[in-house]
Amino acid sequence: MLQVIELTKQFGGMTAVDRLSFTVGDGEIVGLLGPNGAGKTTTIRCVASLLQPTSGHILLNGHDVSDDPVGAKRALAFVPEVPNPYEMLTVMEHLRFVAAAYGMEEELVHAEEILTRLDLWEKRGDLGASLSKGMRQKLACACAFIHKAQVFCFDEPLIGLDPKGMRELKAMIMERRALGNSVLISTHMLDTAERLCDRVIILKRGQLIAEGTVPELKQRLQSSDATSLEDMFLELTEEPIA
Amino acid sequence: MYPIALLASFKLRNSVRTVLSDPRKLIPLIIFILIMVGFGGLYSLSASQPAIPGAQQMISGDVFTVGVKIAILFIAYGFIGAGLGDGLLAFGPSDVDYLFPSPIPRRAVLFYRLPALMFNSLFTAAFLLFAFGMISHLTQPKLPLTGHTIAPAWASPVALYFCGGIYLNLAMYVSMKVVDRKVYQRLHTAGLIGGMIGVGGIGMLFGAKTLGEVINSPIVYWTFLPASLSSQALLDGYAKLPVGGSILWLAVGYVISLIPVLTSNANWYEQSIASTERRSTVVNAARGGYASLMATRASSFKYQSDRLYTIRPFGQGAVALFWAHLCAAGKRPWANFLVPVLGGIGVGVFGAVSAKSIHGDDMASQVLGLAGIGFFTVYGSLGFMTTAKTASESANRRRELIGPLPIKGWKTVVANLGTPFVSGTLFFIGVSATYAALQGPFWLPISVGIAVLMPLRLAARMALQYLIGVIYADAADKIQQFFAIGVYGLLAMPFMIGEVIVAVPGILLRSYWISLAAVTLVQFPLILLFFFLAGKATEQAIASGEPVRLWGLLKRA
Ligand SMILES: Nc1ncnc2c1ncn2[C@@H]1O[C@H](COP(=O)(O)OP(=O)(O)OP(=O)(O)O)[C@@H](O)[C@H]1O
Ligand SMILES: [Mg+2]
Repeated sequence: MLQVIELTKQFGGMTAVDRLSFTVGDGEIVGLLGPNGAGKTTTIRCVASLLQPTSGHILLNGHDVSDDPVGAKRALAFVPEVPNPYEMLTVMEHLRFVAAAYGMEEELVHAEEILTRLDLWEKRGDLGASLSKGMRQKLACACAFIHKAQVFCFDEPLIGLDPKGMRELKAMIMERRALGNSVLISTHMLDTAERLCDRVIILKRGQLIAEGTVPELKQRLQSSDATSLEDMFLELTEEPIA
Repeated sequence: MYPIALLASFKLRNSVRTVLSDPRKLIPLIIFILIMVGFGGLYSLSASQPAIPGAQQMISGDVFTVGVKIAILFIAYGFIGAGLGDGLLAFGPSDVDYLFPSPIPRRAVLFYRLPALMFNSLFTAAFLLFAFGMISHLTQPKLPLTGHTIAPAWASPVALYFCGGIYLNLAMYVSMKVVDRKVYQRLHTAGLIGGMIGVGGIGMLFGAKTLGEVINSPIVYWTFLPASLSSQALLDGYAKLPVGGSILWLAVGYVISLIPVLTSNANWYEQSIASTERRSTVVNAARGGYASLMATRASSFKYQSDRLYTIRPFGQGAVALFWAHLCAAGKRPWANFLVPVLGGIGVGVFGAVSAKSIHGDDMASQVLGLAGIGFFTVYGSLGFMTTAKTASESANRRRELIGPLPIKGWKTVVANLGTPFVSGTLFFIGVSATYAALQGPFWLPISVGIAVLMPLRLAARMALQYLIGVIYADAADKIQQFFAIGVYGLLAMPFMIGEVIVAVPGILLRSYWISLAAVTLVQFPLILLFFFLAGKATEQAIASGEPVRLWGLLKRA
């Protein structure tokens, strides 16, 4: 369960996220949508307590990220926008480090399965420096799945993955939902979001402008030509022409 | 702590393995170790030699004492600056992605940082002790031998280490608390410049004795207590006085300085990410050459975009490439063109004034002044030289872009090196003109040498650096970059020896001009050779996309 309550994040004078509130319940996949610079990455970084919220609260399984960062992080698996692996660590060593960091080394028994599904098992002895962009992405996802997190945060996880990788990752995410985990995904791939997510949140300039299931949003808009999420997204986020 | 230890051990093991399995990395490592051993040998050799004649008058016990204190003061002050900059909290991008989000307490992560800081401080301590030791061996200043306790060998390094550590911890604490440290940084720089002018001015006008009084005054002593204590320990060690007291206080200070750092609850990850990102933009810019480095340093943050620039196209082929670089540099005229000139003027003034003010016709004082100007000129040119390597790295990354252009390899090299060369030449002209205007000793040959020989030398050396940049192309690999420096030293050495050899006839004939002309003429074939090789290497790198081997290149050529 992830709760974001009145989150505001400012950089200098610039407000990147503005009084944002939403919840991702157990067994739910929520898509975080919005144009470039809407504040998706900033929100997710606040959830991962990489950024200190200017105001507001973020609760991960009831742990406030500001008051109890370690407890909150223990519940969280986070995949950054552009993951940088350690150049001098092999794929397998990344998993071992992450498992150790979460105190879940017994979970390493699943390493082979996870790596095989993501096509990384053959590469398990390769150094991070030698991985391609897509493989780096897959490695970060593998690390996210190796420990038993309750909340998953993915920042545009599908970019750069091959079709098989995409399908496998989506399948893994849905398995997590079946297990009752909460998943927050930021993405620009609207058709994927439509199929994968139970609900979507649309941000614009740091503010929540729409939230709900795709059918709900469609109903709310009631515009005859908005048939897909893409149409709605463009309609909602379009700048009014002055 | 266990996961962090695991991480460190993985990193270490794989780095060692990578180095040991690749001769291109191993050989420079061996050379590096040999050089270090050489320095050690030099050090112990210098201990058994008699002092350089005349040196004892120049560096008296007083001057040495004051010198040690000032050096330690400035280094301590520099540590504060290091903390205000991005160095202390800048982790790697991988740490931001994998270490920071993990449920490891921030305190433990900070602990992981400490060994790196320790290394910083220890390395400085070792360097200082080496420098002081060499100076005292070579000049044997008459220090008051007031006591007869022999301090253990670890005493001075430990004292210096604690001193550096205290300042680093304080600086780290400020970094953790304050995101925008620009004001502090400016104040620090202003203080540094003020301090240098103060020390230089007092020393020149009133002499070492007054300078010593100022340095020993209570204000300076107490403001920089750790630095004062550690120079105390060092000098007491030389004077055979007990040093235990100072070291004990330093140890206490070190522990106290750790407390705020380790007990703070500040979420410094945000500061660290800002530092890390800023750093990686600076590092990336550095790879784009001196001009873009300066541009990035000046525009302090990546989200801040200021004025818009357009580059007017001009010329064709390599000329267009050079023009684009020059325009990019022109966006920051201050950093690229004015600072080199001002720096040159500063060095010229320093050289002329110090050589003249240590008056007298005796050889020793003139040599000192000349050594000063020589040191700063060469040091300055080193700075411009390293930009050649970064220029080649950036060219490497733009391989896809430049590769298809119908420009010959050597022309690309010339175009990429043109702008830093212009900056460097401006520096030399500044030095030369100022020195001539102030009529320092031997001003005519020296000014001509700096204005004519140094730019040519710079061109040759830049091409050599560029060549190595292409050969050790993997810019992301720090180890490789580090070794590239060693390889540069190795390759440049024979040419340096060659320069000395061709200068010999002139020295024997007691004519500066013959030596100067000989060394200058030697530069031309070197320039041709290095540009040719760098051009060939560039072409080969573009064509094959593979690392270029020096031997293969030489064999083909
Ligand atoms: N460290 C920072 N300092 C200053 N401004 C920042 C910082 N990080 C983000 N911003 C600004 O905050 C706003 C939101 O950025 P963010 O990265 O969250 O957008 P995003 O929704 O993830 O966009 P994209 O779809 O391009 O990934 C942008 O205007 C960005 O310029
Ligand atoms: Mg983003």
